[in-house]
Amino acid sequence: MGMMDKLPSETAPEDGRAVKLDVRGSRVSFPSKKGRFVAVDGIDLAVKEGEFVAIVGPSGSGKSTFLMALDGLVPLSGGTITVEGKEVYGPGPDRAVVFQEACLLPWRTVLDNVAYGLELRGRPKAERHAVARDLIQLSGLAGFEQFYPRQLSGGMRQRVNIARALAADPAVLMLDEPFSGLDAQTRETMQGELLKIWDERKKTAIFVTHQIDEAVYLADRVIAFSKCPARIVAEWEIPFPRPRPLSIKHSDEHRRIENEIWKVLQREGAFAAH
Amino acid sequence: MTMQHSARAGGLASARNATAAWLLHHATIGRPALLGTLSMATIVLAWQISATFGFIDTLFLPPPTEIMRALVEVVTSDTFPRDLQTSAYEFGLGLGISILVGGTLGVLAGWYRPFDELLRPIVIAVNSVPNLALIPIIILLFGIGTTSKIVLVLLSCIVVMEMNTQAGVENVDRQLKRMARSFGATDRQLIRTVVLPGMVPFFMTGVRICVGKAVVAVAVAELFGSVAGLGNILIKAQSEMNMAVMYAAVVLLTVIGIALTQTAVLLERLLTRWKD
Ligand SMILES: Nc1ncnc2c1ncn2[C@@H]1O[C@H](COP(=O)(O)OP(=O)(O)OP(=O)(O)O)[C@@H](O)[C@H]1O
Ligand SMILES: [Mg+2]
Repeated sequence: MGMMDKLPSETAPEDGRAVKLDVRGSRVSFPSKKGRFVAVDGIDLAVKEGEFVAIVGPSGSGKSTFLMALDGLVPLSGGTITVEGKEVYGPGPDRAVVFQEACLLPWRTVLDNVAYGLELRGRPKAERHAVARDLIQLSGLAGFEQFYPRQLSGGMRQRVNIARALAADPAVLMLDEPFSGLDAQTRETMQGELLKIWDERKKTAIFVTHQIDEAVYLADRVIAFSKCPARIVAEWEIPFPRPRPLSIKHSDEHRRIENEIWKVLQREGAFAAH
Repeated sequence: MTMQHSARAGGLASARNATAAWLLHHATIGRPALLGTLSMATIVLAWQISATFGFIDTLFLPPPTEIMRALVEVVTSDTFPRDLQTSAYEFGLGLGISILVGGTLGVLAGWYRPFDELLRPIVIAVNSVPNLALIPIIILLFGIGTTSKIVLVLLSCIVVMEMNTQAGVENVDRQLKRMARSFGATDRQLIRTVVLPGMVPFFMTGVRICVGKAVVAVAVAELFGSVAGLGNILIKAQSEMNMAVMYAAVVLLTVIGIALTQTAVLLERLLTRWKD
C-alpha cells in the first residue's frame, strides 16, 4: 500500500504536471463457458493533469470495457486504478463517462439533464442550475434550457450529454465514441466544439474512437490497443500546438501521423473483413 | 432563425402556461369529433323517426325523446344525489386503493426478482378468474352494501395495475440506468430519478384500463344487489317495468364511463408528453 501511494509522484513527468489517473496492470475478465474470457489484459496507463488521451483499436478489442472499468461499472479482476492519488473501486463523482448514446432522461429538460450529476450529489437547485447554465452556454445551447431531449437534434443531444458530464466536474472525463452516431459534418463541428470547451476547462480526458483523424486532431497522445484481449501496442505524442483549427486536419504532418497509426491498426487486424 | 425564436419562447413560457396550451390544443374539437357526432346523430334520428311512424314497438324501445325525458327525471329526482355519491364512492375508493396497492406491488416485483417470483402465481390466478362471475360469492361474503362493490373493483384492478407497473419498471431503458450508476446514483436515487419517471407510460396505461374496468365492476355489482347507486336505478326501474328509465340509466352509465376514460386518456397524454 505504501508503495502504491508513491506511484503518482514516481511517474510525475518532467513538465511538473501531476498524474491525475494512474492505471496499473488492469485486467478485466468476464465469466464464460470456458472459464474466463479476458477482455483487458494488463494495461498500464498514466494520464497527466489536463492531458487529452485518445484510444484507438480494432472493434471488439476491449476499449469500452476498459473505460467502464475505469468508471467502476465493471470490476477489475486485477490491477489498480488511482485517481488523484486515491485508489478507487466503484463509480464516483471523480470520474464521468460520456457514452455513445446520449442517454438523456427524456422527461427532463436540457437544464435538469445537465444538472443531473450535481443533483445526485445533493447540491442545492440554485447552485446546480447556475453551473448547468454556464455549461449550456459554453456548449452553444443557450436558449434551449427548457427543451426536452425529443426536441433536439442528435448533435444537440450529444452536446447536452457532454455538458452533463462536465457539470459533474469530474477529475477525469471519459468519452466512448461520443460522435459515432453523428453524420460526418456534424461530427467535425462537434470535434471543434469539444476542443473549444476543452481548451477552456482543461479537463483530463480519455477519448475512445474509431476515427484515426479524430484521435489525432483532438489528443495530446494517441494510444493503440491490440485486438482482444486489449493491450497497448503503440503510442504517439501529437505535437500540434493549441488551440487547433480544424484546418490542421488537412496538413501533411497530420496525415503522416494518421498514416502511421493506420498501419499499426491494420497489423492488428482492425480493418479485416469480419 | 426560427429555431432560435422558438427556443426563446420555450425558455420564457412558464410551465403552467405550457400545460394550459397543451390541454387547449388537445381538447379542441376537430374533424374526428365532428364526423363522429354526425354518425351518432343519424342513428338517433332514424330511431326517433322509426318510433314516430310505429316501425318499432315503443313499449320495449322507447324513442330517444322519451329516454331523454326519463333521463332528466332521473337526474333531477331526490334520490339521484345519493345514487351518484354511492357509485362515485365505490368507484373512487376501489380505484384509488387499486392504483396504490397495485402500483406498489408492481414496483417491488419489478425491482426485486424474489418478490416477483413470490407474487407471480397469485397474480396469474387472480387475473384468470372471470371477476364478474365472483359477484354472487362476493355479495354473500360482504353483503349488498358498498363493501362488496369495492372488493369487486379491487379484484378487477389491482392485478392490472400490478402487471402494468411491473412491466414499466422492467422496461426502463438499461442505458439510462447505467448512466445514472455512472454518475454514482444510489439505489434510492436510481429509483427516484430513473425508474419511477420511466415507468409512467406503462403505469398510466394501467390506470386508463382500470378506470374502464372499475366503472363496469361498480355498475354490474350494483345490478346484482344494492341499496343505492347508478346500477340500482336501473334494476329498480326493471322491477317497475319502466323501460324509459332503464335506457336512461344505461345512457347515464355510458356517458359517465366515457367521460372518466377520456379524462384518464388526457391525463395519460399529459404525463407522457416528454415521449416522442
Ligand atoms: N458484459 C460482458 N460479458 C461478456 N463479454 C463481454 C462483456 N462486455 C464486453 N465483452 C467482450 O469483451 C470484448 C471487448 O468488448 P468492448 O465492447 O470493450 O470492445 P470495444 O473495443 O469497445 O469495441 P467497439 O470498438 O466495437 O466498440 C468483446 O469481445 C466483448 O464480446
Ligand atoms: Mg465500444
